[in-house]
Amino acid sequence: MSIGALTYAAPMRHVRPPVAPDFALLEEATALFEAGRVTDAIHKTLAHLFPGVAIPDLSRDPFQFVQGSSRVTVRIRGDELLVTVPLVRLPTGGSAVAALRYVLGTVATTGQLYQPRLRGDELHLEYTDALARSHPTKLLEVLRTMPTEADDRDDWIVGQFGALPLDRAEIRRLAPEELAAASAFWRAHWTEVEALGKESQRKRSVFFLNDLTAYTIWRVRLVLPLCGYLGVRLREASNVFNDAEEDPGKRETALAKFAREMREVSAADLEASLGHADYALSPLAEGTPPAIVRYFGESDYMEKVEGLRTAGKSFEAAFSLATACTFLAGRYAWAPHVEQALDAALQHAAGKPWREAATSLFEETRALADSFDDDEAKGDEAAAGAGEGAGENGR
Amino acid sequence: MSGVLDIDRLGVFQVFTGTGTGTGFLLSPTLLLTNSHVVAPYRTVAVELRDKRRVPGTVRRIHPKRDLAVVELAQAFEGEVLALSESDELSANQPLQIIGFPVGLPLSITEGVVSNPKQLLDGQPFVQTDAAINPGNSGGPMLDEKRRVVAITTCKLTSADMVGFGIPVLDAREFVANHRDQTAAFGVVCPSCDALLEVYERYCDNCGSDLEDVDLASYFDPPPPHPVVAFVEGALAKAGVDPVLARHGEMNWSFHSGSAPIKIWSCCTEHLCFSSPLVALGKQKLGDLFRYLLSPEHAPLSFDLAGSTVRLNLTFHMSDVFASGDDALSTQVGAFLASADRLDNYLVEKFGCVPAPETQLTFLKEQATP
Repeated sequence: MSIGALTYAAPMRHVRPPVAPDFALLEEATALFEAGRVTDAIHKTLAHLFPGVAIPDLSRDPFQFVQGSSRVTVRIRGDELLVTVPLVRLPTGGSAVAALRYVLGTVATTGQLYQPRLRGDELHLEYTDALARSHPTKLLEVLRTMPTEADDRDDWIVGQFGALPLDRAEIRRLAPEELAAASAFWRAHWTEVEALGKESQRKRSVFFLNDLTAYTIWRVRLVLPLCGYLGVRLREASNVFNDAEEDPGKRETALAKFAREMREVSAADLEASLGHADYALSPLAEGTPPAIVRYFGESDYMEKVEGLRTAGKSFEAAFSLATACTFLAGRYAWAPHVEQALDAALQHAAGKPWREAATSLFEETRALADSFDDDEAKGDEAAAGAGEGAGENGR
Repeated sequence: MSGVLDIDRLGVFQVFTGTGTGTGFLLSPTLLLTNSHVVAPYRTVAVELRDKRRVPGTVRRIHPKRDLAVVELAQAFEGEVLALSESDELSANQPLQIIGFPVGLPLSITEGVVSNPKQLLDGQPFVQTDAAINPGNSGGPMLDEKRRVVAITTCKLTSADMVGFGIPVLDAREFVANHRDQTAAFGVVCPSCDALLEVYERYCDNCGSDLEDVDLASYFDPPPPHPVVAFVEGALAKAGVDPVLARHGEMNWSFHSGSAPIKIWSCCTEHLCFSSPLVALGKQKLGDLFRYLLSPEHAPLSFDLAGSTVRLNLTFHMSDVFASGDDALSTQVGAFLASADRLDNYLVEKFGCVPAPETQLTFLKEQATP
């Protein structure tokens, strides 16, 4: 099968618009901490991180929030601050040893403020430290990283080792019509990736391969509310096929193998990995104008794409731009007008001949970059560089 | 080159400081020659014996311009004292061997030829070679076919391939000869007139050069340590570990706490990591071992597995390190070191683990054998 045109699939995942945190609260928290008012500092830090949420007196009542499947509890016990997330209950038999080894080899590590702890047969991620050592920056790091780690790891331990979920937050399953659409997209996507993989082998272009591997990942993440084992499996496999430092042949082989594995996933397994989860902290990075401009402004990337177009390589140019739009839409939480513009660019290019698709994507993405004034475009480059994965363009 | 070279018999040793590692070679059993950039700005450094024990060395003489330093060792070292060639008559394409500790690896040899025997850089002559030179080689000897030192490895061009430089041996001979006549405990050679400066003054007594221009003061009065360094080394001293012997480059320390190897490093701007690779997994009781390792009783310490090596870990956030006067943190460091020393044996005895290659269990047992 060859690819005749770009396809479009409307996102099914629910994304909450980004809420700007109040950094004045964080500054107040730091001042309070430095003045020795550590309990007040913790309260302010939580207020900064969870705008509009009532924060209880932690010495009396715990504060709980949900991050995907993780239920996080923050509480004060005596002169200690505890942040805990239940992970799983260990399976019986030999797979318990494998699960524990996985946890020790992957979840536990150096340079991490929280660690996995085993209480009876229950695995938890835990952070405990003296109140006096709970600086706001430290607390923010724990609250931002530990729940996300737990959200990822619990599914993997359940899926791989047969562990039992432990006090998981509810994930709303997809309605029948949503599930049918998701299932159809899933099959079509992996069939398309397999075909594009063959195209990559024929082209022997690392630029194209980087686009393909980014497209493989981010299109799934953009379209589907993937929250279970398959999401973690995708991340694990992408460590090889999306690693720009890795040998291209090895990447192509890994991608082909993974695409086949994903295409053959049963309907039940797919359904188990789909659902609408709640996230107290957005799992998406905040999208900023510089991230758009870095791709679609006067950039080396656009020069490269323009070079492909003028050389008659419309397929490569269109596919690369579609991948960039997919990556940006899938990786970041955007203001509504940016999200709509990225979505429209993908919709308008779908089904068109390659030359028209490339022109349409080029013009629409350039127009989006031009819509930001100079100050916006220069903004916080650091936020723009927070992309995941590899690829020539940081994808 | 004549014959097989047993490099471990050579008097060439690795030098450790708080800025990095380098190489030095014996001038006598208690004197080592190296680069000044290897030891500066420290007045005491650590030199590692082949059995991994480290010995303190005191910097006695420094020549910042010629990048040379003499270090007096606290104990006599064994190893072949390499002769300094009496002649600087080298010819292009003449074979050279470079001995040293590239990128922290064990003692290694690289070979090449003299590319230019008197290459002038910044008005000074250097021996240019195409032999591989890497960080860690600095201060090591460049040998000719008769195993004589013909130059001292100093630097390479990072913007080019296979362009390395050595300080000509006659400069080294002169520097060493002058040291033999030195009566002061420490001195720095004036970059302009080669007079020995025993104390820092802004203008050289002999030639009147402005020494502030060449930042000579830092050799006499090293800058205060970074707060993280001050914290770690204070905590180590409190736990009975000599910080000088523990230094392993910038924000990096490595040493043994009893039988357990300890590594301390700052992995990022936010964290200070302590880790000890204790043992390798055995073949039995793994379920019990894993449960033990994940038990909450160890907090704030934790374990992880790096491949099949069990590591004991402790992580501090920099906000804690920068908070002044938190003795509890130093106490935690002491507890970590004591636990590492105890737990490697415990894991072997209780769970059938095997000593990790890096532990000194075997070494210590041999030492205990009459």
